[in-house]
Amino acid sequence: MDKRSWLRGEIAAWRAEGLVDEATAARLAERYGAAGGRLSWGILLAGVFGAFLTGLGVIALVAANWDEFGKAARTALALAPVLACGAAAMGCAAKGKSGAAVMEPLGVLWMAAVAAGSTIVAQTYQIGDSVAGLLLFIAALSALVPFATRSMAATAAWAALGLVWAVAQSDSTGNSWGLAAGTAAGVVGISAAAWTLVERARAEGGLKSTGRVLLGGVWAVGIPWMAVVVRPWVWDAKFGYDWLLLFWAASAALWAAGRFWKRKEWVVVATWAGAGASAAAFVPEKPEWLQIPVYAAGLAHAAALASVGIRGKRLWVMNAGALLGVWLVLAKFFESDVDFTAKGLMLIGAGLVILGLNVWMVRTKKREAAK
Amino acid sequence: MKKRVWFWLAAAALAVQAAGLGWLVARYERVLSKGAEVRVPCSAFDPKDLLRGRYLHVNAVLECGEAEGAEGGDWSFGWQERKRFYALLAEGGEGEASHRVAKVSLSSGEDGMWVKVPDCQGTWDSEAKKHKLPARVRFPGKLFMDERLAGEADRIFAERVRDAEGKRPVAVYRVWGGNLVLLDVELDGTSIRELARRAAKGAVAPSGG
Repeated sequence: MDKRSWLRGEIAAWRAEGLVDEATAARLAERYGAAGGRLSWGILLAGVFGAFLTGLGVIALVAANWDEFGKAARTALALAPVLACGAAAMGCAAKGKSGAAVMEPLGVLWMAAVAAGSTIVAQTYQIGDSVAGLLLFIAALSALVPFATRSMAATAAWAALGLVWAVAQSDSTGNSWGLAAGTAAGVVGISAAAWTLVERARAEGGLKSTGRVLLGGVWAVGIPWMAVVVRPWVWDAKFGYDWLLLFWAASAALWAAGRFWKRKEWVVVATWAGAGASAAAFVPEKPEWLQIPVYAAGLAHAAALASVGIRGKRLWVMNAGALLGVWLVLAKFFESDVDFTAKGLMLIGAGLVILGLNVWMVRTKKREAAK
Repeated sequence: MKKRVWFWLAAAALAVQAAGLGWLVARYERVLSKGAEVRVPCSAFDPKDLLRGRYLHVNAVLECGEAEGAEGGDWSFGWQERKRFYALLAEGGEGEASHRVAKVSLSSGEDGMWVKVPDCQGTWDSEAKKHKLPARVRFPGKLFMDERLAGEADRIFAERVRDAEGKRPVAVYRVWGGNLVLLDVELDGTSIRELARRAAKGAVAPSGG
């Protein structure tokens, strides 16, 4: 049992014994973050991942290019998911529902719907010579989604879209010094801002934590990313898995630093960053004989995280392991030569199952909190 | 944030998306309905795109002997690094081509049928070690297809290359307002989609027109 659950139980007991009145119990619960219905990161991420899988499934179905549909049907298909997500966001706004459990997955689903819709139109009219142009169009159409949903995941997806667009824009000679310089500036800038947040004497509580999370994130992800971008000029990358090793090493270093200096935020960030790196373990690189061992290492990482989470009763660690495992299995499946239709249906199914579990967990938590 | 502001923000996001997609559809529908037909001989094969599925990579190229700025046929003036090119199409193409490329430029002219093309490169002269005219103008080349038919289409093209008896395949475009839209690829006047559909049903041998 974590501290919040324990405190929630204690406050309920005080209320039952008449030690505190209802208003005081509510204020105490709010003050110590033990109010009913509070969501864990694990539940939130499961919801986001479910929405992400469903979105990927929709895109895979679109990629099947079914011949049976005429242009009017294809336009309707392109617009329907976008309209549904927009209507859902407007409905939530009208009812004042701004909970992260709804808005985070909705943000991701909305981004995926815009990508799928733009892709359908691009296929219908054979607009396809510029991948960078398509990405820019999707980014422009979805620019307001992070604001309209206040979804961190949608914001991250939008930023990732920008980064992929920058990579697609870089010329065919691989000359990406501008990208490398931009990444370096980003790493330095975010580090400086985070360091200021942490070290300024007036920075307290949440701000200090936010600063540490930012700092950990930029070190665990930004620094290896920068190394990957400049590697063509620094060393001869005949060993294809160098980038994965860089990300694993950065996460491991941050995790060790977090344990040594007792920075809980760094341990959390390093765990997610390491899981993120392992999520790419399915990518085939040279030498070929290392492909299966690296994929197995990714699966072993997932199993280890899930097992540590279950033993320590830490839901977020368990979910990190579970999500990583599901992702690695699905990614291998997605990479295979199976038809896009089958892939799409499989991904939508997996996404809906995870979203269903997410809803079930939220309801269960709310019921428990009500007791 | 106030409920009302949030509601209108979501509505604005939706309006931008609907308008963006609608604009794209309207723009290309106009090209298809009002555009002039341009036919270019081509070859094709079937790769796939993770985002948009399977398509025919159509290699449709016309040569052009006049380029703005390339006086004396010299191509060494920095076009190799450029990414946006314009071609002036004129009637009177050779063979299966309905049009010829009269001129290429880095900016669109006002008179005549100017179109934006994805690529235009000079011919490599290995002796002089530089690019020179004629330039090779590449037309848009992705024809997205049903994944069940794309493989058949690829097989039909492979058979046609081996037989080399019929006419060359032709990429059919529509041109309007400076935009080029790839409509179809035809073999002996029949759509590749139709041929692939027939081949999938076993009604036509792959090499048949």
